[in-house]
Amino acid sequence: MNKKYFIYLIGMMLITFFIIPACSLKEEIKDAYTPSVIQADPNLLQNVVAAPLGQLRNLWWRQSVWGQEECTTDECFYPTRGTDWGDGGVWVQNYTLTWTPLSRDVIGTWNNLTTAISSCNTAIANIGLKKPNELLEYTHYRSQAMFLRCLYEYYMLDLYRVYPSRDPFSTDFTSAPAINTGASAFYKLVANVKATVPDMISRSNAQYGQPTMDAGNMLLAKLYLNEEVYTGNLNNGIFTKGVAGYDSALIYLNLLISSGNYGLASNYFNMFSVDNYSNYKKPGDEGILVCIFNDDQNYGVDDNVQWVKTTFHYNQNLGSTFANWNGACTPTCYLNNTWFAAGATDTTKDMRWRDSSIYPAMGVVLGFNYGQQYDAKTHAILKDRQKHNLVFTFDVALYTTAKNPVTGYSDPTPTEIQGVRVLKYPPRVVPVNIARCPNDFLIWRYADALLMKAECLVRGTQKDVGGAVALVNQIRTTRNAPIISASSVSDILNKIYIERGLELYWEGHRRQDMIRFGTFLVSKDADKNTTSPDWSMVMPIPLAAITGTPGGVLKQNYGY
Amino acid sequence: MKLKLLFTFFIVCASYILNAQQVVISGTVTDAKDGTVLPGVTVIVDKTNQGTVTDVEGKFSIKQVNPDATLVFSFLGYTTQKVTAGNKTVIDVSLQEDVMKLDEVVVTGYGTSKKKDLTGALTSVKGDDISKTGVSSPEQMLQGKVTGVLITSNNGEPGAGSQIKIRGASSIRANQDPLYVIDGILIDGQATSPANNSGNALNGAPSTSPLTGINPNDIESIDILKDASATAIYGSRGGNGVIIITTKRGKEGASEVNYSTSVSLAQLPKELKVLSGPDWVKARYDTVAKTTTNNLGANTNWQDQIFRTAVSQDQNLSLSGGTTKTSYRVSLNYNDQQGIIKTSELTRYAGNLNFSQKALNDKILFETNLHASQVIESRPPVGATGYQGDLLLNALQTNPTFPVKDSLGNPFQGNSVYTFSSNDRNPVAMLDYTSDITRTTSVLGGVSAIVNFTKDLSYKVNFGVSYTNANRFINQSQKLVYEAPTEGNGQINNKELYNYLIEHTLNYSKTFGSQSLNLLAGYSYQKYNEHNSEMTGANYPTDQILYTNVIGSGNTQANWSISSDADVSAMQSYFGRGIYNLMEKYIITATLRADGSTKFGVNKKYGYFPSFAAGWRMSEEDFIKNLNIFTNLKLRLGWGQVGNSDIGTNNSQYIYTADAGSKAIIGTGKTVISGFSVKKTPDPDITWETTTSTDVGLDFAILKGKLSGTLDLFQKTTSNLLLEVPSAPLSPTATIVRNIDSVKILNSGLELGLTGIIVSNKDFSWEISGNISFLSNKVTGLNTAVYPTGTVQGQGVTGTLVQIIANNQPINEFYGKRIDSIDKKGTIHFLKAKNKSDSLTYLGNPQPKFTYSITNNFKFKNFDLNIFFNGVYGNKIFNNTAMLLDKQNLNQSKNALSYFVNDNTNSTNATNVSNRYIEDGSYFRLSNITLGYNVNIKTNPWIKNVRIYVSGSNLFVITPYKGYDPDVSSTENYNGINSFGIDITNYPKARTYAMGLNVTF
Repeated sequence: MNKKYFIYLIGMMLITFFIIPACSLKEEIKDAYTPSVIQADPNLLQNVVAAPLGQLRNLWWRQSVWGQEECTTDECFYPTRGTDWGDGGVWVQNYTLTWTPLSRDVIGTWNNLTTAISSCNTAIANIGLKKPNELLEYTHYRSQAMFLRCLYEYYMLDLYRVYPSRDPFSTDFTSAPAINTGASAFYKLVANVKATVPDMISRSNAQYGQPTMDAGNMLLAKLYLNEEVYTGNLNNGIFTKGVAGYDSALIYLNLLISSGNYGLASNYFNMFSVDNYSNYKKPGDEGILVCIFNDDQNYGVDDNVQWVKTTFHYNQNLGSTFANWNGACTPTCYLNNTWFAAGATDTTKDMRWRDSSIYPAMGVVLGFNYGQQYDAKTHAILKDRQKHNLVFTFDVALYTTAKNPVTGYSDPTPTEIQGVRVLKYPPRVVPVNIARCPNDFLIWRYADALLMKAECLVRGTQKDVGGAVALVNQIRTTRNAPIISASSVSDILNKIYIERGLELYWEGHRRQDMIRFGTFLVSKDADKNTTSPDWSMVMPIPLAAITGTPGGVLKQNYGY
Repeated sequence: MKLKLLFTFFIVCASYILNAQQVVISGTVTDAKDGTVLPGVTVIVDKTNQGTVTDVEGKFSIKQVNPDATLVFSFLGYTTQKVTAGNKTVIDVSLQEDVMKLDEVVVTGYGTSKKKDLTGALTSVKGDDISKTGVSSPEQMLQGKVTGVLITSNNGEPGAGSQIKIRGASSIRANQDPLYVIDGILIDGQATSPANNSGNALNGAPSTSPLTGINPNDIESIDILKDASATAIYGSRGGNGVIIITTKRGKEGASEVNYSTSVSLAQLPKELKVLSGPDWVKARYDTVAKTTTNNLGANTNWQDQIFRTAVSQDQNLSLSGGTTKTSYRVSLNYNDQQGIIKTSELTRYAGNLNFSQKALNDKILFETNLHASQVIESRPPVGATGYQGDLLLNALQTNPTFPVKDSLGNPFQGNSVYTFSSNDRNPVAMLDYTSDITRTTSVLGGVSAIVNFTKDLSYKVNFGVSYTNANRFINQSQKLVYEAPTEGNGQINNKELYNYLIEHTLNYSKTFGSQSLNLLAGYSYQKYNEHNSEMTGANYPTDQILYTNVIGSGNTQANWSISSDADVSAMQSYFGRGIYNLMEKYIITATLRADGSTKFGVNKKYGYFPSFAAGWRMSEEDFIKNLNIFTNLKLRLGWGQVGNSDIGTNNSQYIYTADAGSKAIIGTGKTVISGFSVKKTPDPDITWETTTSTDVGLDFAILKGKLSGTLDLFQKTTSNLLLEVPSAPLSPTATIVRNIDSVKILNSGLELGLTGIIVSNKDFSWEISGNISFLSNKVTGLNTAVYPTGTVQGQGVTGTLVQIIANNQPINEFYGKRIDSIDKKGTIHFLKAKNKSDSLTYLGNPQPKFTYSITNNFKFKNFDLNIFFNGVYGNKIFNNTAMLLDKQNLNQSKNALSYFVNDNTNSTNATNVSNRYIEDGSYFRLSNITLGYNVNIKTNPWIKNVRIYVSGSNLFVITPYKGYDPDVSSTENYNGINSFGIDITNYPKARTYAMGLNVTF
């Protein structure tokens, strides 16, 4: 054969041999699932609704819904302590209601909630539209996703007074969502919850941790309780609209209370214990809606949900290996206005004040920790990092001009030892993992429903002071606190407000209460003597959300 | 039949008769300057295919030369010489060195070009020029050497990577690293280090260089393609510039064995001045806390406890040779580098095999190259801090009155007087009880065949494979107090990267009289794969066995975790280039590449990247020649568009992941049900970033080539920038990655390189070269928000940022509070805004205004001396290390920097990110000085060359910067946005003294 042709032949063979296999530029997905995979398998139904339920865990920590509902109030704050907890002023912004549209927690909370709503939409889309005669399982799971969407929308309404909504079956994310604001946002949400509840699973058929019809009714009660706030007019720091909301709330509270599913816990702190799931359906179960946690593996919230770490001092190891951060404590004004208010309670008897059952093992008490702190094992006096005695003081404020009694210098911020520390959800004595929390979080519980009912009885058309006093005393008796009496609507309302502070502290209800009772804007910090502007009752909308919404349809809240 | 035989006989006879008139010519070729013989010089008979190459002794012999023929002697780096054969039988030639090196061949991407024919901005660095000084990484070879290329070390750890910016940062979010092409195989600059998520200061340790496996001694040349007209042939991957590394191949001639060895000592150039024990006790009492507590009486210099004099060695053996048909080169490298921090060490074993074979009457050339290496790195916990601090921060901040060891001889971790919390860390305990070993195995290989269809037309197929497998073993003993909660922590992380490449190119090259044309057409397909896996165990009964050897032996599974991910992407490209050369004066180049990538959205699968360039060799024009000034003068103009496709994968897909946060827990038994979350908000329009650049360049030489230089002016605009922007509410994720048309990054600059030959004669020569590059950079068109970045670390500053991407500001401009005044009590007051809050202002640019270098080369008889200075001017550094060592530390019984303790502030100022810690990062460094001696061994028949040298690196640095070294940049990013110019306890750069020997047999 001619050598030249032989070379051509080799060349052509090489070209054809290598060019043929290459062509497709379709992206291969190696480590993720596609919608077709998920919808193809009916066994994946419970997995489809797992994500929106799992998203619930993201809300109950210091930089999300819990932080905004609790650490903006007089119950809890994170003071900057010298070089600790400055973090660019984010903690102080929450407490002094001075966020901006660029504040970390304004953005973080918004993103948690919108992502969760989107996750509900994804689940709804994967379950599909309701079909006649479909399996009950489909109905229950769909309604669970729809309820969760309403729940997340409720928190958005509460914090931002706006929630977006989008067709769950569309995957075009370039268009603007519908923006719900004002009174219509409230009415639309209420209508959606009402439409969802009948399809929800009943408590008797539900598993622990699954949202039930009861939770749906409680959501309606919560919405109606705050209807004045969401739809009313602002007069002297209080929203007014009319009594209809309280009467409506009463309907759903009565449904819940008369169901017989719940009772008051005889051991207050047992509700928050490490194994509090074991209270489920036992006498005294208060859990209307709980968020289940566990410490056996990473659930995406490692180091976030820290009921202990952010509170106790670095040198307190709780008898074990805890690395604490010395952050949150209780402002003095809350203690003075609630626990130490004349006739509020008897701290020597009230089981909600202190419970030393874990003290032998951990060196701390449940409830309020103050005074000298001791090592759990050696019982030696603990010191702070400067070797001063670790004595938690009642006196703490954001800024101080007083001289530090120990150093003789005037510190602009509290010292390491200032502030009473609160423990509601204790850790395991021998932790499985110190970054995780095994305690289930009580989002809504029975005592709250009773106090809400008491409030609706007097705020609604009935003006039933006696009924309200009876409900408050029902709780106080169970908690070993002296019973109260009341002579007037305003008297009992004030006592309900105090009782909510005694019963529900650090559980994420305080902001709503303070707004409803008109105390939210008043200075919480004795040194500062300022009142926040009325728009501080609503958080700013993150700048990123506004700029990211096409067509400029999402508007910034008034004042920001 | 008989007739045919007869005819053949006549032909043979006739040719014999004809040949009888031709003669055999032989001779020796030497260097005109010093008379040394030159082996490997090409000798060809002009206008024929006849030719040969000089042997080891510079001798050649060529048969059958017509008397009227002309012999052409050409050799790289020398001016080509033509000699008429005449009736001579011996022709001795001495070649003049070509000072301008205009005939030098440089690598341009899918081809080569003579330097004089270049139209794009390209700088070529020869391996031999630099490997004489015993550098250990390719990046070090380039630092300061090339105009327009800013190389900033991540830190001084052995094997640490660098941030390489060619003509400025042209991306905010996508990778800013250039594309590497190693022997024709395209490698993205992806870090090969497996991640780590075990925390405790090991977290986020900086990535090591992807080039660590390459032995610098194997490098023939590094060619840096800077402007778009040069890089457009690499299309969507050329946006950050291209670095082409070509390894050495065997040359025709006798075999050659080369052995080189070097040993070096490295030290910390300076310690940071923190308080001694007694000074600390006094300062704490007097100025800060009026307290005498926490004084344990020792006087420990913790820095002395972690630093050491490091000893390193490098051994190289190579064997090369070739015939007219075959050539080969084999090399072996053993390199062991100790770091100046105890336990840090890098060991490299590298082997290299390059082989070429011509076949079928030289019509086909087969080439293979194979690089294999194993790199073993031992790394101390340096490089990230977190709240508690890394080894280095703890060496700086740990109470100097603490003893190193306790009464039992173990590292002191608290006693009855002082209880360690988990936040106190004895650096010696961190060293003794931590081990972090990474073993990286890489294989890079290619096979190619070039088929010469005709003299003008050739076809090449190139098949390349790159494979990297890195395993990282991290053990943190339960003896560390901060590991006590989990009773030790073991982690094995694996990263596997592999890609394969197939390329076909057709090349047509033809000269028509005074015109020549070169055409290239090609097709390429490349597939990248990545697989990561990670497992973590804890709660071990004992640390007597390395946890990672028995990772499943923990007491409980609560702290275990496993995970993995996989990623694949592919790119298919078509490209072409035409070069037209008229009269060796006018050169026009045009290129076009079409890139299609799986990463691009369905609506934007293919991108097209054109470029045009022109060169005018003015010195060939009579009117310039007549001036008698210029030995060389060339004007270059170039325009082109290139892309950056390093945009991540799965950006356009609606897909689910089963992540930890999507799990539901249900029932009193706490049953776990895994769930699905949408991974990313899909963007079907996602595509490459486009960089358009214009370059005007001038190459010149005057004074008979004694002064030559290159001047380039460029402007570069990146548009279609990829940003992570807020998504429309209720998208599956809060942000979406998309191209934003309006946002642009503008880079413009001027680069000047000059070389002057001061003295050049047989015994003594002196050459100075210098270069300077000016660059300005800004961002425009951000329609809405600014993008914060620049994560800082430390107690009380969690989540605080110090940099910003803002309109009309340079990328990564520092941004934060500015000190307004310090009152009598020492309280710092910051500049206030109208609403009385602290106002945030721009605080400086982390990128230098200009960078420069000066090289002096002396030769005296057999001695040579090279002195290399380099520097940068006008950049700012955020000294995060200093911020962590401010006076407030004394409150917490920690140590602080002396200059802060003695200044007029008080210790109760809260830690604030402000201009207090922003410093001038300019520096001028004696980067390297090398003195070599070539032993005269002409008498020895079998040793060709012996060279010995001593060298010192980083001998001094003049800088106002107060940290360890101004050449630092942590590799932090925030939400995917790169930061730059932040010094967070970066591993300090060493001062190195080396000596070496190089023998060629």
